[in-house]
Amino acid sequence: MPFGLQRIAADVRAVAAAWSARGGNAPNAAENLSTLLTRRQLVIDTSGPVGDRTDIVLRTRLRLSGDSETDILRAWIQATPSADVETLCTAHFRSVAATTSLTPVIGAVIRLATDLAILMGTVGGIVAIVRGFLCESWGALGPALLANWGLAAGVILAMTGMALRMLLRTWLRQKLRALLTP
Amino acid sequence: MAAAFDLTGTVRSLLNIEANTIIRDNMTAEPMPPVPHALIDIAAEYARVLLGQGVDLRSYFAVPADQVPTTAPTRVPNPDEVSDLLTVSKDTFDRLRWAAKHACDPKVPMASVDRALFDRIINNCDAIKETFTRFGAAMQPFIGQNREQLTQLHVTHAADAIDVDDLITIQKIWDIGVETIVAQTIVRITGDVTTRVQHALTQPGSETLFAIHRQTVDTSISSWRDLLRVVSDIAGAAIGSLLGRRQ
Repeated sequence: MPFGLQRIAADVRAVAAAWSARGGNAPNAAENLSTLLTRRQLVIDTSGPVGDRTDIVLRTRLRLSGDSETDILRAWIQATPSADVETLCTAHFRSVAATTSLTPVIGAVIRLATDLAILMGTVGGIVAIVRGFLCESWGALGPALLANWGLAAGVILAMTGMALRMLLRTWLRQKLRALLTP
Repeated sequence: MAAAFDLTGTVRSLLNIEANTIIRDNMTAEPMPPVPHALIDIAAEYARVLLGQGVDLRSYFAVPADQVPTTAPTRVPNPDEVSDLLTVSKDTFDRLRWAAKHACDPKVPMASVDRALFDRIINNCDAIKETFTRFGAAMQPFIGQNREQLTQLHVTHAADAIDVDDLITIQKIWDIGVETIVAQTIVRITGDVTTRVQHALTQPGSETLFAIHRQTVDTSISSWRDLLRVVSDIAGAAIGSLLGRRQ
């Protein structure tokens, strides 16, 4: 399989796995990433027994800056047997991992969106060329290509996909150059 | 209302990460209030620590601004409350900063935990003072107001429309407050890792806390890697060449 198609297939598999019940939930990943970008942090709380009531005993904050904090309730850690603390901690950090594990899928979704735009445009263009060739013979192929809406749409879609990626990369490169300039 | 996402600031902040483990006496689900109230919350907590050490903040807040760095605050047995004097201003954080600086003079005997807290107050006050230089129009109506005056105004999260880095800084300072950080690990993109632990954590029986801190660091690094990967996926070759293509 050509390299480009291999990458698309890998991205499709990654998104499909994220969407499935086994792999997690891609909309949740998008929501978590959106929360991280707009609120600058994700907060994951775990409640546990403190005396005769239930309270938040563990809280992990993951910040957009990459920093993280875990808060532990003093009354809980002092009064709870180590084995119980470890059990709840394991469950807590499993929740934290589940919250963030799907973030890389966002990259696959972005790549797929531009790849599919290019692919659809290319396929549309090829179909239009073949149709033009079959209907109008070689002599009329040139004008038919220019006048054919299917071909025009295909070419425009393909060019939009490529331009979108180029613009995104150019913009990000400028941002990075600005970042790395002392 | 959240401000626009600033990619450059985000990437810059990803150059190193900090993982903290904190023990708290209580935890609420309360989110950070709008920035003006959050700043007063922070000032009030720092003032409480200083008052707890007997620092007479009320008289210190009467010292002319230009004499604050050179004037050591007096200490009294039961200092008066100063909540009415704490305002959303650079001056408030400057006075708290210098009061903390004088209070933790090396000649003054003090527990290492308290000294670390005073150092944090000094550093955070400096960081907050810097944010004031970048505040835009959204914050201007609240500058110079104390808590009582703020409650008369309609303060919403629209006031949070400040620089992303500043918002993250204030959020972090508000979240941590004056709680004791029992373990802290700093990981730099160069590969340097620094871990600081409180003396009490070196005693037997603190293995569980260490385990929690280790998991916090693992989580932080994993989240960091994922964020970098998303940025790398979007930016393609530019970031790829910055970070290297090794997976």
